[in-house]
Amino acid sequence: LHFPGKGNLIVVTGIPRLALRLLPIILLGLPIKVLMEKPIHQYRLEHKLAGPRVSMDVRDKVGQNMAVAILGGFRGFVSDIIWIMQVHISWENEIWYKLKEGVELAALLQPHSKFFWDTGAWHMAWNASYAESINQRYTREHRKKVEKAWIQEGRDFLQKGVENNPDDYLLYHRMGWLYREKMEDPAGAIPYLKKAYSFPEAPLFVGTMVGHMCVESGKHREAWEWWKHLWLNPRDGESEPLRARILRWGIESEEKLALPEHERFFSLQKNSLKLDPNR
Amino acid sequence: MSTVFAVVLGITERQVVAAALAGEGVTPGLDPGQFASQISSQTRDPALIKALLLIFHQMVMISSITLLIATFATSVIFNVISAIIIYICGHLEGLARESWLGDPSIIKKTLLLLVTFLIPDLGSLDVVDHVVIGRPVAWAYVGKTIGYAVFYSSLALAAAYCIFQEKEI
Repeated sequence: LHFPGKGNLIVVTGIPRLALRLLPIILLGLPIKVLMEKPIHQYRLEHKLAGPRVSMDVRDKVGQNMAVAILGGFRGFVSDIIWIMQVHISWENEIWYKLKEGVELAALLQPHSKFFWDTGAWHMAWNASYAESINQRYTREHRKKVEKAWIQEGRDFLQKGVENNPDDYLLYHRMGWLYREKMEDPAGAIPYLKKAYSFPEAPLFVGTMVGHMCVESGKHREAWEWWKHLWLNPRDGESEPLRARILRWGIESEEKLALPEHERFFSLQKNSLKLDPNR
Repeated sequence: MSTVFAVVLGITERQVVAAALAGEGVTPGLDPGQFASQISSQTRDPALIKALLLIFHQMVMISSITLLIATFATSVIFNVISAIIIYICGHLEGLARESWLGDPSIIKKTLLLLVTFLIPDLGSLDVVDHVVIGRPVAWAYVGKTIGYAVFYSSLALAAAYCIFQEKEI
């Protein structure tokens, strides 16, 4: 502090001066920093950008070094390593319980990666179930039981994937496929395939699969309505041959239902295509 | 690094597209041309720019803290180790803040307060994993986090400037 005529009364040098300079940075800057973090954190929570917590359970499974890597922001890297080192090797060696553990861990660390859910469910419902169904160490009845158990594991795993990724067609489609191929339940596949097709980016074959599942489960009226829906709501990229096939399937449904002439829809559409629907 | 990344991505895209056009690995029911255009649209996803921008600002934040430490540290090893520890702690800052708000213990609260106030939230700039798997990240979020990174880096650099001024060279 300087007083005219009296010189400096208080002279601050060295560490106290530094403290005085740093004080505004600490007192003003750092609270602003915390306030700025609040909306960012809120957005991350709302849009699920923050990954799941690393619980003690996860720490035990991945080991201490990997846990530090996860906490240090290398979550994606760790899940890829787990996938390669644990899942792939367990698949090659057919150690299914270890494969399941790795698949669940990778998906837990990266719950929005559809690859882990899709391929993990395929390992369980297809590979593990088939391998156990021909495992000679079990009795015939036990083989069947274990096979079913693995298919169910795959289904449950995929269900979790659907819950974590409800805004994409892929896992809904895979669920429909699993119901049809492994659970032999085409009727159970219908809602999942319909949901998958409701996404504009879903491939066209997903739409036709819905109709086929209706036919396979004996729901011919529903199949006919679905073919009609596809016919009346064509999507970009639908080719004439595909339209012709939809027409043919529609006519087949009408024949199965033995609809009277005035109720028939597809029979009247035959001339609208250049291609022969019977081809 | 960004240039190397772009070159590697471009080469990989060309290889994968060529394989797709030859019919390799194409999803059943999809036209190879359609599949190839899907690959191209994913590799040229503008969201990658967001990820690169945020990684750059994350690096700027860590560099400014390292510079701050360098103004009072006497050993290079100490400086490097501190930067690594801050990088790890930075990803845990969000967790520390949550605990700080929820924990009633005064001692823990004080310690967590220090972490919350001093360590930057590096986790908020970590969106690469989400961008890679195609999850949307809004430009508004990117803007806020870049603003946050610039602000924090400015604080660290201002503190480094103050400390360096007191230093006898």
